[in-house]
Amino acid sequence: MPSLAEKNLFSDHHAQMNILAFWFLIGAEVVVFGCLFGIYVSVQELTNNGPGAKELFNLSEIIVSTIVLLSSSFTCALGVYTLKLGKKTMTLVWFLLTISLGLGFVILEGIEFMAYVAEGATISSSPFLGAFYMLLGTHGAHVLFGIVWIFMLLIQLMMYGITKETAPKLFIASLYWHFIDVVWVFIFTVVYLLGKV
Amino acid sequence: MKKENDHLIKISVMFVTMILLTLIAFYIVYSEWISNEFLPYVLIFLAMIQVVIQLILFMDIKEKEGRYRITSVAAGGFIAVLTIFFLAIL
Repeated sequence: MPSLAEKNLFSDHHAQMNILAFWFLIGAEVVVFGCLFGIYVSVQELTNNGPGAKELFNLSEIIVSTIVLLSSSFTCALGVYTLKLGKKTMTLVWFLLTISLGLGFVILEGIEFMAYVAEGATISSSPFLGAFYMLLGTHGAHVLFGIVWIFMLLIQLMMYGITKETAPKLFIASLYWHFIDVVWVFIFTVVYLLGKV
Repeated sequence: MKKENDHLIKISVMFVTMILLTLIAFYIVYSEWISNEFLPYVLIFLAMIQVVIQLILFMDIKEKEGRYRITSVAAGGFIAVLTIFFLAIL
């Protein structure tokens, strides 16, 4: 049973259709990342005598990035929770925290990439590294896009408050954010953890 | 109000669960506690639990028009699995 505020904010047919359409986009994104994972898994042994996953990755650094991104998913869920309750200030706070954590994740990923490049592990060094940078770069670009998108929606939220127009947009952005978190769970497992096996 | 508080407790508990699952996966690899033969299955299983938590609790996949949401993700997943399968054969 949805709360009264939730009922009013998301019951609109147009909002419902937008949310549903976004799920179709998520389906398409699953294909995109599935292909990138497929390429990575296929070429991960082709290291051109350069560093492989075992030598390159430092799991203790990656675990920090993972916890930062998982935490952003939690703050995002809290943002949606307060949005449904109609609490504008708290919604702003939680979503600002979400994009701050997202920014932290991007910075950590940038530092990680720079360390690899300094060791000579560039995108053109081997098929393994090409697929690795392609997969993680695409995910990182999605995180960056999510940060910009949510930031712009927060400006709208500040200007117009929680309305039938602004609330569904933020909810859709939260779906996107959780999706990029789901992708990261697979990256963490397939690329980093299984890379060490 | 009680229902809203319940939801808040649920997302907090699930967040802690996700962090724990991540740490468990990390520990399993780091400590070499499980043989390499079974390790991929255990890690994928732990990841799948996290994905289910995200989809059901955070993304409301089972809410209104749930079957369309599940179908769109499942269709995407099916094509992704096919791609991975054929790339693996190559």
